[in-house]
Amino acid sequence: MSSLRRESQDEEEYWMKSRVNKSKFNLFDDNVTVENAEELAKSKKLLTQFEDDDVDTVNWDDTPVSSVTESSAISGHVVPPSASSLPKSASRPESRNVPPYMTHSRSQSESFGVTGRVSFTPSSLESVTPTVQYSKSQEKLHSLTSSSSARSLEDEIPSFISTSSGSKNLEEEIQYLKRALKKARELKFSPEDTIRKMILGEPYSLEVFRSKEEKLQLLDKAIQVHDGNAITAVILFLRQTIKPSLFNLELQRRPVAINHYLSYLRAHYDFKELGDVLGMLNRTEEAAILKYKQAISAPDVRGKMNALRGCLKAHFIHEPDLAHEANLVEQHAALLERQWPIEDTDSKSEAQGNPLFRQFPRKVSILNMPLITTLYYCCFYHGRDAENLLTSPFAIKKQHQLSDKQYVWTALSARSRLKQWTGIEELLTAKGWFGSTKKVSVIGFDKVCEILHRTSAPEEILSKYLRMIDGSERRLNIARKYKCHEVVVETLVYLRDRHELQVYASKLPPGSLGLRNAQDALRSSTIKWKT
Amino acid sequence: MAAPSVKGFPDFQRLKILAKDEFTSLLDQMPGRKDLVIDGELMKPLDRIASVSLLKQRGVDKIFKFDSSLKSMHGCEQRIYLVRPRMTTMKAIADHINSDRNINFKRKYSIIFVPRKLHTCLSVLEYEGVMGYVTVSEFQLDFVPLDKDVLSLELPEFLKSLYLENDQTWIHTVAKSLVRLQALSGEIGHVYCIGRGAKMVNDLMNFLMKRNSSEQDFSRHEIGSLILIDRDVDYVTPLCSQLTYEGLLDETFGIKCGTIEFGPEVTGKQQSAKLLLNSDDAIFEDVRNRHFSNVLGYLSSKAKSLQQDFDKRHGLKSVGDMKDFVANELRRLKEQKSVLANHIGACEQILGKKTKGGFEDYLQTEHSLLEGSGLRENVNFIEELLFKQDNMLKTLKLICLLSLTQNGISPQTYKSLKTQYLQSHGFEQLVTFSNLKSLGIVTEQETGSQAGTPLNKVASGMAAMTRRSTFQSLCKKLSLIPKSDDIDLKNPTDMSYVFSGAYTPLSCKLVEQVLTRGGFTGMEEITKYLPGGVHSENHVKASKDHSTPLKDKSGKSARQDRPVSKVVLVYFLGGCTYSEITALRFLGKLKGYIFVIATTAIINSSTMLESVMEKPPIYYENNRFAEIEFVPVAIKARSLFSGNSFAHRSTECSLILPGAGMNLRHRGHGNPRGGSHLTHDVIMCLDRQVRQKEWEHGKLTGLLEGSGLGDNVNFIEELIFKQDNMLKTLKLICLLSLTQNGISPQTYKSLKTQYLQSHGFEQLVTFSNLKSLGIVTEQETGSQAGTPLNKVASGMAAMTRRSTFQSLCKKLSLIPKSDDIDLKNPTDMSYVFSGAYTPLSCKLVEQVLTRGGFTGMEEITKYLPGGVHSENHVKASKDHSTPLKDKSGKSARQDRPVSKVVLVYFLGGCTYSEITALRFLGKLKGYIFVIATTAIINSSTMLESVMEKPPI
Repeated sequence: MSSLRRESQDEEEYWMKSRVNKSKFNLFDDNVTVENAEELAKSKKLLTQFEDDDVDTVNWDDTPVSSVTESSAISGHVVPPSASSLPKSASRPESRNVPPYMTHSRSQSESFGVTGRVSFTPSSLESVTPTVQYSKSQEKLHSLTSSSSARSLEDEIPSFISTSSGSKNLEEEIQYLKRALKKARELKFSPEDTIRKMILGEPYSLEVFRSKEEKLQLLDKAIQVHDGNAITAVILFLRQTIKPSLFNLELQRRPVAINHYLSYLRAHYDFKELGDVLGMLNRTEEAAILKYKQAISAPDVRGKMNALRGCLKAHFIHEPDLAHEANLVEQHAALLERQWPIEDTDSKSEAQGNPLFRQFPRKVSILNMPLITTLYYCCFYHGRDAENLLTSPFAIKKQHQLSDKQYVWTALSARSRLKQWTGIEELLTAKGWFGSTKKVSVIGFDKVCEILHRTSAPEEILSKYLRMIDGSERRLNIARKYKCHEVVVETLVYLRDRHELQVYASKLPPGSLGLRNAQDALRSSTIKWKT
Repeated sequence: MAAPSVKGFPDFQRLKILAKDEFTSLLDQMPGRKDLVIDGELMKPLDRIASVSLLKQRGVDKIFKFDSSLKSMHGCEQRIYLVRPRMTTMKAIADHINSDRNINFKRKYSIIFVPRKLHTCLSVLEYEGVMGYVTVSEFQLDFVPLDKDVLSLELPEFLKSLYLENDQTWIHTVAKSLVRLQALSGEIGHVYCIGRGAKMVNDLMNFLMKRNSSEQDFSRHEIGSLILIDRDVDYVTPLCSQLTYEGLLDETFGIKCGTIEFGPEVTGKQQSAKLLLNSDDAIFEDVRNRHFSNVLGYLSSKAKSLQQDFDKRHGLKSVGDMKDFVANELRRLKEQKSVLANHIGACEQILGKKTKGGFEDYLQTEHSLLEGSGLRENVNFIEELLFKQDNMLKTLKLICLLSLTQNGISPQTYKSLKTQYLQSHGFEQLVTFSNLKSLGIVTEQETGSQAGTPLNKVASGMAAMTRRSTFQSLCKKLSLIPKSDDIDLKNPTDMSYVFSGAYTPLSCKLVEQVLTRGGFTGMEEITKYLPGGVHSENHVKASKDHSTPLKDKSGKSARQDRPVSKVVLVYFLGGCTYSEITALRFLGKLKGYIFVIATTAIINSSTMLESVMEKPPIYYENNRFAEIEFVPVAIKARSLFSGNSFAHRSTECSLILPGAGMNLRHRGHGNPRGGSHLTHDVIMCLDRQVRQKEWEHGKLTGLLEGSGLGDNVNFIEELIFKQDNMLKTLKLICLLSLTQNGISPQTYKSLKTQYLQSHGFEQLVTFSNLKSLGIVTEQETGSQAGTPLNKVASGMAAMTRRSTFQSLCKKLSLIPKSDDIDLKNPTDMSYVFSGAYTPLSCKLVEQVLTRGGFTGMEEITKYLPGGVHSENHVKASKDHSTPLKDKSGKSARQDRPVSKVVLVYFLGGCTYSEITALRFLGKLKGYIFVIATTAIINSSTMLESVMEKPPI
């Protein structure tokens, strides 16, 4: 008995959340006839008055009223055995009072919040015979207990009547009701249960949720427990079952949901919808990047060029926040427009056996290569082309507003690789005042030497530019690094560091120019060595 | 609980055994020979769980690596897919299955999802129509124990998914892994969460665990505390160059799931060597945590001592000693020798690569970035790397560090670096920069007052703001940058040794702080800088048994006598580096903790950046495949959905709405009595025409009789010229076609053109509809079998009907011979049409009733499209002594006991003329007709229902 009580309390807690529905009667329910609709309305009124008397009504379970038993059996509510054990006749008069109804209906709606199928008929209508009541309850029990309870209608009636005498039957009935309760629980769906099932990987069904509110409850619950799978599943269910305007509205209210939806669309390659949603959310930058991403995934260069131009016009140019990105996309398109004809002519020229390409065969097509690579390519193969040609390195520099540093670095690498020493000289020569010239390097001569060294320029060239490095200490270090002995010796002499020179000379290979110079210097009497 | 294993580490072999058992039972669910197709990224983890021999033993025939570009696969009759839950994967599997079905190859499929099935995946399978052929199950492989103290989910996509896309799908996996771990090791008493994801994991874990709080003795549980850290709290550490041996191995060669593969350049032999890197390898265990500067020295000394051991054999005196040496020592020594050789080879490789690539300059820049000094030089260095088109990842790492340490990059520098980066490494990297911006890794500083700058994601933007302004403050507050330059890298005293004493990993420092303080109390100055905030839960204090309530506020004194285990589980969400693991190991030794590191994946700077980068052009091929394959799916999905609902709706409409034509449209949809309504076509065009002018009547009659074709066409043309009522004209065209087996191509074209010119080109749709209905058709010119027969079936039906009308008229004598029909006292149903024509439908009813079925009507019924069918339920009844078979003929019919009331049901509507005709027939023959119909129609309503925009 006490355990039962506890269970019913547990249940009370369990269904607490569905209490919102407690005064929700359906006047149009099958079981409600026109006559008792009035009764219903009355009881509803009373119910609202007694709303505060929760404790009382719970306690009322102990009062023996058979009608409660019947309806509870239907609802799957646990019922104290005393109630059912009483003969029907005893309960009748009481059940006609108003308070019993109220309690009855309360327990009903409490436990059956969702289905809300309230069968008032047995207790409220005298005209209905007990058999009818039973058949009703029986019907429902069958539907609830589908297979397990095979008891027939006839079995049921005597058992109810005879419960007054035998405790064994009572025990049986308790068991039976427990089973019914269990079944009812299983059948009963709440958003929380469903989400729990989803998280635990148990079978679930979303189709039972028809009202928008319930669906949103589902979504909110899923968001609350942080399960991405459940969130996405509910979102997709929502998308399928409510109209887009509502869907978008509710989605916008839930940033977490939005993110999951976007993530789903991305994984599903549903770029159109993805772009639309981003646009709707005013996430213009993301939308623009998305379009850009799509544009660059075009398989052929021509298609890519067109797509880029289109995307630029549609998504970048008119967004002030994306001015910089617009410039970059513009550059991308321009680069492709340059690469396309270059590749076209050069591949033909290569096929015709142009000596340049024979000497330095092209490893790969220039198409889709980065801008700096393209610049290098043009410096390499078309270094002397006039500025009005697409292949002119200088035109590239101009169009893409490359910095002098970027340009010099790349052009230098290319010319050094081609061993165009005069070309390098030109590159590093600036016109001074009055037609005079001087050697200037925007990247610093140390970097010039680094490039020359990397492209294995001959020592004489390397020495020439090493000598242009400002700062003797620095020059010395760099010259040592590239093992340019002549310059090291020169610098040491310049620094008048006899000791270092001696040490260095001792390491030099015999017969080398550096060694000779060092020995000369060491022998020289004109140098005033540091002391 | 099982006894804690060596040195107090919980025994994670149990996880392996559990996983193995689960996997074997999953394999056993498909008894017999089967193929196993494994997702590439699951290969290595599975390798740690189950051996090939075990698979063979369980009936696995062949093992394939899953390749999504394959359209079909060969193999035996049963196949198991072991895959990560991804929609693209599902699509590919569905392709495999469908291609098998197409060649009628019956195979059983099973898909095992690791670690769980996702709704989206199942819906792809459902959508592709293969759900019926597969069984779906889950293999909850979460933690793969890589070592005695390292557990990994091997889920590198976690980072991108949670922090870039804000997708919480994998939170569940992390939470579940903790639930399963605690089921083995006991509940963890203290939980500390640092960051947003950490809190989510904790929430979900509690949701899954149903803690029965009070009666627990936490002292017996193997793991005392859990610290969850989000990677987005500390992006700096993984971006720093690793300098410990294990870290360098990972950066140089890549350690995959605890194994490393050395190429010939390391082994010095032809073949490459695979090495399992864990604490079982004594040499590796000795060097893994060392700073690289004193690895080689150790290894060479080890080599010397090994050589000495080898040399012992020369000193062996007796044969017994020799035997003993060979039996025991030699094998061990040889193994050690080969391992040692590999490690030395690896060191040489690392050294070679580092010296060649200007590593020193790079490291110097990195360290000065961390210190926040020499900004200009650092930017110059980065630019130089860009000019050189140096390694794109290396350069990007420095840009990231620059932004992370400097609260974002100043707008000017940001723009110039970004532009130059894109120019050097391809404009495609624009996407990478956008991703890094979303992650808050590379951001642009906002210029003072400009509040209007794009803050697309307010939340993440805020987080980014917070983080950006933090690094220098955090460094100061937590003294992450050691003051003294002299850190003894050989005998370290501080965690910073893992980065040559330049920096203490933030994540590890936070762990230290949390443990020292026993919570976040007093750390407010620090935690306010951490994005996502912190959260701690103390389950121990809830216990009644323990007299020392351990609140965070109780501080240090309470902490010391807490009864929980010294084992601390540190869980990195989004991955951790080997350097961090090493730092924590060191911290553990220093402070007496035993750290167990769990992570979603082990990462390094390159893998981390690559996971959020736009792929360089080389990978495009793969990329493109997926997109092309998938776009149509998305489109299909939508069109299918809308198509379905449309079909559904229109069916519904046709049931509810009184639009007779609706049913006509759907005649193909399995209507057994389709014939009855189709024969209506002729009649319904007829009513009212009786009331038209005399000459028109003449033409009509002509049409029906099939005479004066040329005149009729001329008449129709005249109506068209006059732009007479379009319906009226159309009716005549319909009749022309119906009665003449379609209209001859020439006439059809000219009439159609003229009609469209007169009544609007929109009517093209009407003609198309009428053609589908078979009402207005073009005659097919003899031999031209190649004429468009869009719908073969309906075309055939149209053929049959077209050739019928004249025959039916003749067979059923629909056109009365005599011209004089007494319209006042009619003797024939044709009176409803002035005696010019007997409604075919009514005539058919009459025939059926007269003959008691379709017997003897074969000549007629063969012309009726859709055929006929009759059922006699009376003969089945036992009570009736006269069995009424169709064949029993007229005599049987007359004494049948059924009522004389006949229900005639017109599907697709009927006209009043037909009703009248039937009423007349009833009077004539003694039947009582009840007429049922979907709607009462007339020629106009019928045509309008199938017309484009009916005239106003």
